[in-house]
Amino acid sequence: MNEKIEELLPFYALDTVTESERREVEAYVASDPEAKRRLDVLMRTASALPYASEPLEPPAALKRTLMDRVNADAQKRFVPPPPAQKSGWSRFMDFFLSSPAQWLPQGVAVLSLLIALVVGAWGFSLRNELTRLQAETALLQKELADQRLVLAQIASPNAQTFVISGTDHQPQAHGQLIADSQTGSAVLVVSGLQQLEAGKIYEFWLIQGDTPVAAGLFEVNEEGKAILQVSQAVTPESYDAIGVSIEPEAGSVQPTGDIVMLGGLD
Amino acid sequence: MQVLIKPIMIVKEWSDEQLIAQVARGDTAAYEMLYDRYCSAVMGFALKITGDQSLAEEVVQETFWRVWRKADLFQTQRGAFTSWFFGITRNLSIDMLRRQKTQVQPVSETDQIIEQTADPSTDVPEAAWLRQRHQQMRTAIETLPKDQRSVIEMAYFRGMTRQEIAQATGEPLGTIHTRARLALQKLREELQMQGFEE
Repeated sequence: MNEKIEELLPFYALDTVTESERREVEAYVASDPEAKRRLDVLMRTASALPYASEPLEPPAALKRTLMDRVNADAQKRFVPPPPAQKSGWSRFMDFFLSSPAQWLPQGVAVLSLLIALVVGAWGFSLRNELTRLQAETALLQKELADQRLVLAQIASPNAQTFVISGTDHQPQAHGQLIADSQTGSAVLVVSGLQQLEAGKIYEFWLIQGDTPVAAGLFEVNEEGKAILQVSQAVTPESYDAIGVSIEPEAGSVQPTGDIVMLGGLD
Repeated sequence: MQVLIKPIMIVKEWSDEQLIAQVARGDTAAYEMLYDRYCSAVMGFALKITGDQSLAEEVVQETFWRVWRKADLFQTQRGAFTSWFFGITRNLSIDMLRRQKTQVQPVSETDQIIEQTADPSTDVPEAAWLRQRHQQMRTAIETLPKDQRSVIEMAYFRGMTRQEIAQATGEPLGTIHTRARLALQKLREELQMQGFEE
């Protein structure tokens, strides 16, 4: 182990070495897999440092200006591919247009039948598509309304954050309850939870003394994450703790399954 | 009290690496998704370094423009997208800071001065995910002893070399080396304990 270069590794990870130091470190780790592993660990940690800054939404005008510039550049740099050679359909049409006497009698009948079939199938498909799009639009509109509401709270200067951690049943689980101390609205953000078998669901609890209050059901996505919006007032003074348990899919009045997450509201 | 809860799933159908690969092919929709995912992180990061909102906005603009123009240079095997991306932000911010010779504000003051406003087009699950990462990182940093934290602050957020840090603090170079190493080790342990996803 080269002590002199080992001392440089944290500064390499923090990106504050000189060019010659950078070359030294890179040559060193290229010849020593263990040193490379140590450097990777340091670099992964350093790469999380930007998150130490409070996220801040840039002005909307900035995005518009940027997207205008990008769209203009995209039109210049990414030209659509030229039309391919004539397709089979084009060659077929060429034949029809060049020698009508050969195909006219039978062609009219076949074409009529084809048109009827195509129009029928198209109409059926359009109806299905329209129904699907209407349902999708309604769902998206509802989600958008929900999300705007949640965002207003997350961005609130009165937001207080309370940590909720996994118990022995799911120690990898973690999350936060973000509560607005003025409006009482709250959002629970969880991750690291396991996906549940069919017929089971997670239930969120607000706990006052020994009394848990059922506060909603949720499922997690493939990454074990979920966000829950509490739509009625939940002030930290009203409750002592929060928890998550596994319940039958209809939910329970009291926790009956494993308590997988717990946290305090103090 | 009856409490109603509406579940909203965090959907991350596209990873950063998938999106940047699409951007390299000229996909502006993928680019916009990346912007929405990281614009507030970049803005906050640039503001912490430059201490000036208009400079931070310039950094956001230039960072994302470079992402667009240089997407084809990003190589997955050389590290995560965020390392590359935040590296661009940091370099631009430090360059701008040096050019402007602006006094850096501590993050706590900056946080109080700047009032956050919600953009209605912001993706809420992404915003919550970002906020969670911020809380985890901030908690981890607060566990560091003050002298270790200040080495990280000077090196990473002000771009000072180890020699400059030794000179600024009046400590021997060896002490600065030790503090930087211990700080990163401690940060890693704390982030792991909190389940921070790399």
